[in-house]
Amino acid sequence: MTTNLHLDRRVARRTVLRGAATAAAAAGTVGLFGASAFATPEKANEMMTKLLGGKTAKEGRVTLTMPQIAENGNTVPLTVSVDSPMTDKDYVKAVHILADGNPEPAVASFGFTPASGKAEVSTRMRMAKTQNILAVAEMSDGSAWMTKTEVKVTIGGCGG
Amino acid sequence: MHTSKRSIIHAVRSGAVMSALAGLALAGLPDSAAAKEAKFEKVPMTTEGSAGPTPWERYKGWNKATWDTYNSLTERKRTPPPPGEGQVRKIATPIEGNAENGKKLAFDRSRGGGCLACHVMGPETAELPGNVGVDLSEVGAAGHDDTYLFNYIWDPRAYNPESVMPPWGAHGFYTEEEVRDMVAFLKTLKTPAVFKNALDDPEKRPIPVEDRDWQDPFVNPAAEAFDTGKDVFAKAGANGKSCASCHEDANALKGWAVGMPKWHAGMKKVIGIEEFVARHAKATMDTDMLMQSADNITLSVYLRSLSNGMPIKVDTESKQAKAIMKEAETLMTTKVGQLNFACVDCHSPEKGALKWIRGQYLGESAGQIPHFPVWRTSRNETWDIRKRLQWCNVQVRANELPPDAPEYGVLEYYLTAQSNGMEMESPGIRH
Repeated sequence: MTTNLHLDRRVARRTVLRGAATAAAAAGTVGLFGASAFATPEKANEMMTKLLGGKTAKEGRVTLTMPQIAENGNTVPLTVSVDSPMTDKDYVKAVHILADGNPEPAVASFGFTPASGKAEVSTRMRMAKTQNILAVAEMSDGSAWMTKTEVKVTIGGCGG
Repeated sequence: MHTSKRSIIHAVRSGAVMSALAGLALAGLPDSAAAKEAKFEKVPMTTEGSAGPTPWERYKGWNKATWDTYNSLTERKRTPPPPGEGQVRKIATPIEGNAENGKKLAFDRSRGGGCLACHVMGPETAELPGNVGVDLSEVGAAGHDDTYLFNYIWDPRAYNPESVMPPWGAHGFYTEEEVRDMVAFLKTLKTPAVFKNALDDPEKRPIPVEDRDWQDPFVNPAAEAFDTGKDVFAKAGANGKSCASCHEDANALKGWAVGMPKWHAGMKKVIGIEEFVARHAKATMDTDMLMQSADNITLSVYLRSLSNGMPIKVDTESKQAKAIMKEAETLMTTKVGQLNFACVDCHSPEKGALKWIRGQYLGESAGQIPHFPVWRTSRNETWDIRKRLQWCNVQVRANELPPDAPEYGVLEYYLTAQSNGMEMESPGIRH
């Protein structure tokens, strides 16, 4: 059990690292072209629609577990689980994580098959500031489900 | 063998009952603490020179400023004296400053932390205010005159010598005009704060619970030292010897770390594990394993981890231990830096500890040592206690000391004694 968790986490870590690299590159681009430095709720919704190929996600079936207050934005742990039997006929195809206050709204995407057994993934993400995190699941029947939670990023007292 | 020796020492401590036997069995046995100290003195250590990098230079990426006109833990007579009680600064009244600018200044974190670090300030309070100080939401309706409000910001010690609030004006954080603007803002505060949710209210915000799996290197990168520490332990130094050359079985060192730091009479200072590693490696392996170097920290974490789960027990009974604890109390209560904080101002439950400084919960000084060295998620580095003390100094705008400074040794000793009986859990993970 512990070993499996380890494997899950390591996979997730690579994904996060790749995500971080993308975010850094994106931040650079933003600086060059002088566009707005942070995503907005609208941009996060646009990205969600893009990822879902134009579909709209309904609220429900997805559970996103994150701290209410993150001690800093460097490595905020998160776990997404989706209510699904994970059978050949009914399974989760993908889980997407989005942020509406980071330089880039897309955080990470995870693919699943019925062989995944369980529709759950844990990873960690960077957060630029207090914002909403969205978790979206694409199901094999074509439906999409989502949830949203606000995570506060702690502000230190000494101002340094 | 071991058991019988320990029971004899125990008997010495329990005194009267055993005194009848003392004449025979215990004659000539030295006081146990003195015996341990003598043993520590015999361990090979290079006693001269610094155990850290020389000359000491502050870490890259830290605040570069120096604060030579304020106290540090060595220079304790630099900070200008406080005003006497009632010695207020005379100012032109009434104050008709720019309240909008005053609010900007009060909410700005960049010049010492800002008022929200410690105070709730009315309905427009920004997110995660602190509660070390009183709620100022209705201070504008409390009937204070302008001179009082001005001076309470300029230097609160004119009214309350025990105040932990920094002297914002007297210590040069804000100009007189800026303080007048802040007073103008305070005078607009007449209605209670309204919080979006419990998280924003420092009186209701849940106290953080540390429950991460600190022994999992994926969760806590500092725990890589469980493995990499073995490599350092086996790595040959300049003379071809490694730790393992003499300490064939590292497990024999189980229990050693819980008795550190120790007083070294020859060097006349407290030696913690990191300084010991540097001086012992130099003496036995002819190798520089200076404090704050990667190998030093890795090995120090590893050596502590061998005692994980064992209760910390530094000597608090000997005459020398009592002298160290007394010196520590002086250091813990010495005001340092431009912000004018003593350790106890933030980390004693009688003062600021167990309250919120903005979104951070101030821990008390007891119970910190067992999880050091610690992985800092905000810095992505493993820090020993000395680096944490240096950070605290720089955060309060005081010049830090080199890592092997005797004053840090005394503080490390005191903090460790405060954690006596608690189980070693090294390395920890914190913000």
